[in-house]
Amino acid sequence: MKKFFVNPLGIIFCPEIDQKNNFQTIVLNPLNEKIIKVNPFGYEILKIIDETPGIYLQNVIQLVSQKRNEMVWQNEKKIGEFINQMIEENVIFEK
Amino acid sequence: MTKTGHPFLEIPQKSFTDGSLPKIFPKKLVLPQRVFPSRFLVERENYSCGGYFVCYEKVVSNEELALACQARNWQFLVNLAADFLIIYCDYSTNELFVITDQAGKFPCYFSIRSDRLILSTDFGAVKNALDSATLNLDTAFDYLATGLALFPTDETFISEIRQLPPGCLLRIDSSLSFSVESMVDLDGFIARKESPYTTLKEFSDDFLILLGQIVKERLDRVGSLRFAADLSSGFDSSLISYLLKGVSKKSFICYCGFCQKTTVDTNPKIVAKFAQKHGLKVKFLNEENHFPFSKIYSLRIAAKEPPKLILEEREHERFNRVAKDGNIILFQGSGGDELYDSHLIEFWAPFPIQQNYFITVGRLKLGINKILTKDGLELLLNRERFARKKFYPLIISESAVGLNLAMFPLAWETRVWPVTPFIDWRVVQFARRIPLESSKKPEKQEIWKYHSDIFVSSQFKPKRGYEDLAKLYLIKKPEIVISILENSILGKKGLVKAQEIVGNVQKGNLKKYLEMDEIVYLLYLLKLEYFLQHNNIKVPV
Repeated sequence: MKKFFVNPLGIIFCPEIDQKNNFQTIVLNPLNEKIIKVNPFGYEILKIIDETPGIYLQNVIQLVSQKRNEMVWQNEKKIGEFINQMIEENVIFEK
Repeated sequence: MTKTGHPFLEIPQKSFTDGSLPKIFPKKLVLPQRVFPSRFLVERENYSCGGYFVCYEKVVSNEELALACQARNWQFLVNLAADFLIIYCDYSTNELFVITDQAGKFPCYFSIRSDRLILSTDFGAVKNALDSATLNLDTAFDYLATGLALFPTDETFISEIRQLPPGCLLRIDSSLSFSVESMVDLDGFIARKESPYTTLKEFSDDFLILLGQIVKERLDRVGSLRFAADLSSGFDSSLISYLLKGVSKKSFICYCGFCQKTTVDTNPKIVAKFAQKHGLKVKFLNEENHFPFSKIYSLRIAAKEPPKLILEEREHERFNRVAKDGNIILFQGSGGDELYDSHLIEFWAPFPIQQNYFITVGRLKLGINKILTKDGLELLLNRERFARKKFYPLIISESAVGLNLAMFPLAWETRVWPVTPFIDWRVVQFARRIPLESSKKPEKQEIWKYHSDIFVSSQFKPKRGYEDLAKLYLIKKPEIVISILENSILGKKGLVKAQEIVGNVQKGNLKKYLEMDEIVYLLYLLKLEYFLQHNNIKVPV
C-alpha cells in the first residue's frame, strides 16, 4: 500500500489567510514553478496529508468523509483523482 | 538631529502621562529643513503635526493635512499619490500617530523600550540609541534570499527595532503600547477595475497620455527647482525623459550610467541616438569601477545597516554627481518593469504569504544552496516562519516599494529626491487593463512598437541586466570576501557555508558562485556579516 507525503516546498498553510479565503489556496509545482489553484476540498486533503505524513489513501478518504459528514463512496474517486493530480505536480509524494 | 540629518524623535514615557507632552513633543521632534518634499509643522493647543509632504495628484495644504489627521482620516492620506512622513501628536488623548505613504518613499524605524520611544528614518540612529541589540534571524534570512525586496513586514534586522510598513499607521498610546495597521485600500482598488483594452495600440496610446499627465503633475510640484532625469537604453527612463522634454520649459540634464567592459544594462550608443532624436542633453557616467566593495564607503554603509541595493556604489556615485550638479530632483523610470504585471494583482492579493514563500522556494534553483548550509536552508524555508509573518497589503508592487525604501538613505543624505511617475496607484490601475493574448502578457517591445516616433529602432532589442558588474567584487576583491567570511558569525552557528566559500575563493574556484544568482546571495551574506561583526549584536540559535 502506498503512503502519501506533502512536499513542503509546494504548499504552505496560513490559518488566518486560509480562513479568509474560505480555504481556497494555491500550490506550487517546485520543479516547473507552475502555480495551481486548489479548492476547499483539495485543501482539506492536503491538510490531512500534511498533518499525517505517510498516511494511506484509505485513511485520507475516511478522514475527509468524516470531516464532511459524507459517505466514503461519495469521495473515493474525487480524492484519488486529486491526489494523482498533485503527485503529477510534485506537491504530493508517494512512497 | 542625527549626524546624517535625519528626522528623529525621542520621548520619555513619563511625558505621555505627566501632562508635559505639549511642551516636550515639539521640542524633541527634529525635522531637518528640506527643499523637497518640504517640511511642515502645524501647532495647535490640542495637537502638533509635522513631517514632510508632497502630493502629486492634488494640492493639499498644511492645514488640510492637519485636519485630516485630527479627523483620523488616515485612509484619505495613504491613498493619495503622494510622498510623506507625518507625525501627529494628540495632546487631548496623549497619543502619537505616525503614517507614511504607500510607495515606501519614507521608511520609519522605531523602538519602544520600557522608558522611552525612539523614532527615525535612520536605522543607524535608532540602533545607536539602544542599550542592547539582538539579531532578528527571520529578517536576516529573508535578506539573504531576497534583499528584503518581498513584502515589507514591521520587523527589521534587530528585534528591538520595528519599522512602519508603507501605507501603515503607527499608533502609540500613553502606556507606550503600540499598534500598526495598514490604511491601503487594496480591496477597493481591486474592485475598481475597468475592462481590459482590446488592442495593444489603444492601450499604449492611452498609457502615454496618462503617463504624460502624471509627469506633468509631478513637474508642477517640482516648480522652479532644478531637476534631472535618469536615462538608459531601455523603455522606462527614456519614456519619462521624452515626456519631461515635452512638458518642461526648462532645460535639464539626463544622466546615463553605463559600463563598456561588462555590457551592463544600458548601451550608451543607443542612448546617444535617442537623445539626439529628442534634443536631450546627456551626461554619461562610466560605472565600471563602481561594483560592490569597490569603494571604502561600502563597508561604512554595511556597518550601519546591510544595504538592500545590490549596486549601492553605482547609485551612490550617480546620486552624488546629480547633487553636485545642483539638482534637487531626479526623475526615474523605476517601477516600470513591475507595471506590466499589474493584471496579476487580483490573483496574488489573497495569497501574500504563499506568494512570498514560493518565491523563496524558487531561490533553491538559483543557487542559494551554495551559500546556506542544510540548517540554514531549513531555517530559510521553515513554513511556520512564513505563516507567522504579518502581512500589510500593497497596491504598488513589492519590488518597486522595496526599491524606494532601499533608495531612501541615499536620497535623503544627498538631498536629491527621486520622482518616480511609474510608481503611482493610478498608473497601476491603468496597467491592469493590458490586453492579454491567451493570458500571456505582451513584452514591452510589443507594447511600444506603435511608437517609433519616440523610440529608436535599436531599443527594441531586449537588454541585459547588471549581473556582470555585480560579479566584479568576487573577481577583483577576493580578499574582502575572505576577511569577512573568516570571521563569519552565521558560519560559526552552522547556518552558512562560510569556511567552504573561503576555501574556494582562496583556491580561485570562483565559477560555482558566478553561475546563477549566487553572487547576489553571497553579497548579501557579506554585508550582513560585516554588519554583525561591527556592531555588538546578539545572535540567537
